[in-house]
Amino acid sequence: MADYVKKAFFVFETDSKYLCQKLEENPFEVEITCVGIEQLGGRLQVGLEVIEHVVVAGSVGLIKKVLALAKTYHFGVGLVAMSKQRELISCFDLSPTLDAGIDLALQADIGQVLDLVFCNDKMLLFKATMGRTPLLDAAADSSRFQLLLTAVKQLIKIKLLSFKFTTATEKSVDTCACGCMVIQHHRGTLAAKLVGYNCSCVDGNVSLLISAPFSIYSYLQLISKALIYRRQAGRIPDTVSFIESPQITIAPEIELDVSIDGESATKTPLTCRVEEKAVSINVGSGAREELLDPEVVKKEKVDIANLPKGKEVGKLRNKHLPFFSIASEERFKTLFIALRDDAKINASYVVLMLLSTLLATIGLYLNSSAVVIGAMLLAPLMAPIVSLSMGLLRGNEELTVNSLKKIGLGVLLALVSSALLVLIFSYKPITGEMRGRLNPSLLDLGVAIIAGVAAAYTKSYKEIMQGLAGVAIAVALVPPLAVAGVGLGRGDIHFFSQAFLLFMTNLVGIVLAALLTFRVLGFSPAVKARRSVFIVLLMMILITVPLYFSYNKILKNYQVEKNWQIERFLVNGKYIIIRNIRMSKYENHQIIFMDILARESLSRNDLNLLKQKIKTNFPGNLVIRARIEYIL
Amino acid sequence: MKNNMLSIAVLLLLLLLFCGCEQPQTIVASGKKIKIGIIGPFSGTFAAQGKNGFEGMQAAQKIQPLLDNGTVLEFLIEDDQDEPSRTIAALMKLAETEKVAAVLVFSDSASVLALEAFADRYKTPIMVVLATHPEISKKSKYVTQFCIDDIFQGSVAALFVRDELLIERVAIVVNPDNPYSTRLSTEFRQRFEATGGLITEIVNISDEVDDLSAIMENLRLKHTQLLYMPIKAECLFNILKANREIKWHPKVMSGDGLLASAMKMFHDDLNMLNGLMATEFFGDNIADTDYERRLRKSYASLFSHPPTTYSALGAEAYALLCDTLNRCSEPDNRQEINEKIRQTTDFEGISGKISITAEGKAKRLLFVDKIENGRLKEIVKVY
Repeated sequence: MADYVKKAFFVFETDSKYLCQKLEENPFEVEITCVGIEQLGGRLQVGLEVIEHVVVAGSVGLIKKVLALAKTYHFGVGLVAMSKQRELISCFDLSPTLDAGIDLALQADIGQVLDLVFCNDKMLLFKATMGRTPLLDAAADSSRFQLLLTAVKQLIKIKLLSFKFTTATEKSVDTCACGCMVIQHHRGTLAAKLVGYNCSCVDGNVSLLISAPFSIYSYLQLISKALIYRRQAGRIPDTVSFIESPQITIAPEIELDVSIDGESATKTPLTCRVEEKAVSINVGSGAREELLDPEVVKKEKVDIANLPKGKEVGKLRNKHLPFFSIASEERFKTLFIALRDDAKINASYVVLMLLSTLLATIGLYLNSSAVVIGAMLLAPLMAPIVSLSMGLLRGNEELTVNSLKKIGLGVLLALVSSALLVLIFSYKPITGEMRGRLNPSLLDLGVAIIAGVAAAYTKSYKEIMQGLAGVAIAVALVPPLAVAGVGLGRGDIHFFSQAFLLFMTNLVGIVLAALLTFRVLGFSPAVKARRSVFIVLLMMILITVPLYFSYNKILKNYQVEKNWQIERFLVNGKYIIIRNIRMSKYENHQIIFMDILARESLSRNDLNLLKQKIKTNFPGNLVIRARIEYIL
Repeated sequence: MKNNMLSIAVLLLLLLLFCGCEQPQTIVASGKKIKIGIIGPFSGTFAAQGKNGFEGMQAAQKIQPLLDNGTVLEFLIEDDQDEPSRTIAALMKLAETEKVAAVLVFSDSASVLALEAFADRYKTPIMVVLATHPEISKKSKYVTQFCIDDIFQGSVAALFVRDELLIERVAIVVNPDNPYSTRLSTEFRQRFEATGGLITEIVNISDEVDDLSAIMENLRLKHTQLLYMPIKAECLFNILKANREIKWHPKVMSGDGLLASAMKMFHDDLNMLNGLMATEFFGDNIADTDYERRLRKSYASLFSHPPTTYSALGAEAYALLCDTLNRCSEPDNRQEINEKIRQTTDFEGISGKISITAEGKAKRLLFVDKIENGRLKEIVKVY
């Protein structure tokens, strides 16, 4: 059974005057005195000793006036929400029905002591925004389509401005952002979902969300996250930073309008400060539980790792969003140093290159996938190729030349060492592992491109560096070189050229893909060495021609093999089932290998007739190699 | 200089494109006509054979309306209701009165065999489009069989069942009054037994049988694994119903044209045929050829129902006839037409190449299909 206050004032304005009678006739025997807002100050001073509770119904402005008085005179406040005040209902967990609302407003001993935030001395009840805060102020219950539409509309207008944020501890942040949002009671907004709790009014802090998408790409990421995680709390995207402090000063480079609780109230610079435990308000049980959340920690919090700093601010300010983001100076520096080291020739590179080639060559001769994979893991060729990509992207001649030298040396070592090994060995079979590297196709280029993307990506993030091993296995740089070396050792130019084509496919594919990946990740505002990149691109186009034909051949073979799944022949009354078709090519002949399943013995005449039927019905200069099995 | 190079490159490209685009030769109608006779059942129980077959011809004619010399083929249709006496009378009328250059026959084996005795008298080339009896074309040098005969079909069916389905016990249901049915059954039995299979029983079923359930129950008791039933669709449906009544679901295999007849006669009960296998001349999931695509489009533009095996055979027969006439120096000379038909080599049909031997026998693909929801899904393709 709830307790109710004995006496209370009801403060109204014109729109809420009709509630007077309802409150006066309340069933809880609370003595209600209705007063207009203009009379309130004087009445309170007279009745200061006796009035401990004020109920208010009306606009946000009226509520703020009552709260300001409550701060001074220390009375409790009950809020009765009008049916249209959805934000008020949601934030304070009030009841949308009048009777239940009055019940809650008149209850005693449920008042929640809350902080008040003042921005440029104007009270903030819900939120204050300045600049553009795409999606943050959208309602969490907006449909995906509405969110998308809003986001796309705002994309056109977004511009990054220079901001300076100063906290209560004089911590100062100079950065770029498109807008920011001070939040107090914000239940039901997307911002609330992102921050992970609905109310920052008991933590003794001002909460500030800074929106700073640095590229269209990152903005699209924000949209996708907003669309995917809009119902999940606590996922602040990379483009949003967060500051909590008892006082925050926001100073953009240009004067911005500040909207407080939906009304244009002041201009920047804006100083927001918190007055702890300033008022006691009757809130709903849901809000009460949230406010008791032990996870709310009352200390300054500055989460600005994703905001641009230093020189980056100058690059971004007053500009529309670029398509790709620009990586932070620190990230770039770390990566560049690593890549510069990767491009330098050293003894370990030579040793590892030799060892991996020898291992690969022996593995190829043994037809052992495990040994060949071991060689792939050992091979150090990937690093200078990735460095070459960065060198070309940044137009850094030193990095490009060093990388090329290192790759060239590696190729030379691999070819010479594997060729020498062939000359030394008397056992020279052509194994399946070797044959598998003699027919490069567009699929191999696809592997190289994907591996190139993966290589650049893993290189850019230290935390996923272990992925490089997988990339090395996927793209396998040394085994094709070893096969090419075997071709040289055998004096077989076809063998050499096909394997070397595979290596070049991998090389060119990785270089281009890694270059574009670095560009997307923001390691260069533009492709600088355009001429060099054009040469690589041209090489890729040239390589694509034989790869295309090779791929076409694979497709044709696949089609033939697929078609032959249901082919049967009736030859001289003997039913012949064809199985396990394989296609191969030798000079101008298309060789078709097949297993024949028959019940009766096949004479030379039967086989000739079979051959004739096959040649009549299937195009090409077919040479048939068959193995006969009998059904007993 | 740069602009000049660009202009030359564009010109070269255009030249290449021009050379690459071979313009199809346009044939202008000469106003000449060649009369072609068509005999088949266009009314009665087996009307689908004639109607569907002729529809296929019409669809093919829409694609290829003229011969290379601009001549158009004019069709004269005679309905024989699949009765031998009417078939003979129709041939006489077409050959003697109408003076047709060639005759296409969509009737069954019995009618064609009766007709063949008189074929040499009229010296008119006759293309037998649907009938598959092996004796066809043996008595007359003017009769050419367009389908693979029953010997090939029966052998393939038996060997497929034995070697691919690995079935050992089969019962054969045969209509003793129908030459097509008896011949296929005989061939099947001989081949199947030769490969060590056991024929559990040969059931002779005429058009009206009272107790099919009892007959089928008997076959079940003999551990029959498959029923080979080269019989008419109506009788086959009755057997399937009887099997359903006794809750017996053996594998079932039949001959060509079953689905085509069933589509007309038992359109609402087609799902009863699901899973049934049949030797056929086409399959629905064969690799699309350009000709097949065009033919399907043409057929769809003319008719609201899907094409059947009869339609496809009709279309192929028309295309082969056009090819033959184009090879003739005198396209209305019956003797020359007959000779050229029998010289056909590697003609590109809908699903593969067709050749005609000097003896008037066709060499072409045969499919073993499975019927699924009114479609023929090919299982194997036999050359």
